Amino acid sequence: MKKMDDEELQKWMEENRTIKNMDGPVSDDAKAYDFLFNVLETEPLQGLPYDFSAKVTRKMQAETKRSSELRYYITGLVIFTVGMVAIYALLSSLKSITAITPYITALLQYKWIFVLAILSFLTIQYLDVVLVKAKVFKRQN
Amino acid sequence: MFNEKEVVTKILDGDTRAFELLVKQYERLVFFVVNRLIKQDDDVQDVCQEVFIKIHKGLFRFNFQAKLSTWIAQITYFTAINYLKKYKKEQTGAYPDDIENYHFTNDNPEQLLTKKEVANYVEQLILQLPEAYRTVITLYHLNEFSCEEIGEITGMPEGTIKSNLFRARKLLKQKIEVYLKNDSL
Repeated sequence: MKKMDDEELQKWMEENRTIKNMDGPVSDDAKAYDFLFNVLETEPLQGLPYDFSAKVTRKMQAETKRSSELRYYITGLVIFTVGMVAIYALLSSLKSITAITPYITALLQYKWIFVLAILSFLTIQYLDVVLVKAKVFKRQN
Repeated sequence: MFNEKEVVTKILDGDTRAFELLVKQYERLVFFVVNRLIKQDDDVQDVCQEVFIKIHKGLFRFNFQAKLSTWIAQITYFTAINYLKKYKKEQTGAYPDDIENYHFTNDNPEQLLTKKEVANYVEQLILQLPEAYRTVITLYHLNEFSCEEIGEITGMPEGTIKSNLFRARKLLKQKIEVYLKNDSL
């Protein structure tokens, strides 16, 4: 059998993965390729730590939370700005102070609803910081 | 059994356990590529983490036209390449002028005894190869991608991949031959 060159030997190894079925005497080149293919397909001994997936998941959750909080604050800011602009536009469109009096009276009737809404919002934010975030922090450590 | 479609759908619905499952399934693939390309133990884990965060953020763009493993390998490859461009002096994609006479630095096969040591020796030789060679050797032999898939992952033409694979193996074989000759004496 004619001696195979590097290209032929590599092709043989890709197709057969071993030199066992080769016809005739096995050359040193063939033995070297056989050895090399075995080593190349051996996985490295070291790897990622066993809790890698849990770490990545925690990091991903933290990033998701951060970006959703950012979205939440931006939305709040946009609503606030739009509200202020609307109030300003409303007031400037009114001819006199006497014309806005009925609106202010109507708003004052519902003042406790506004106060309660602001207080509820602040309480929820406070509980979120004290209870939820503290729990998450404790778990991570 | 790992069901790609089901897991991806669950992740997109916000299921963190499904994401953890995806990480477990592909962490070896990501590690093999990052470890071979970056060569810096301290940074490997951080880059692997970055890869999975990118996967999570970009998963909505995955349309199942390619295999999930190919898509993940593509993100891994480009993240590692960007890291190299940003933090290392190594010229990514650069070849030595005369690859046939390429010289490895710690070239001392005479001292080797066991197969495990030879495997470590070959690993060291691979790490000294040009980045394009390391990439194809890793994706082909460790991650078991075809040349066509490696083309999809790296953007290299298939002919270049085959030629890099051939040259890298030939270089490594020449070094191993020295060891085998010594071993048989």
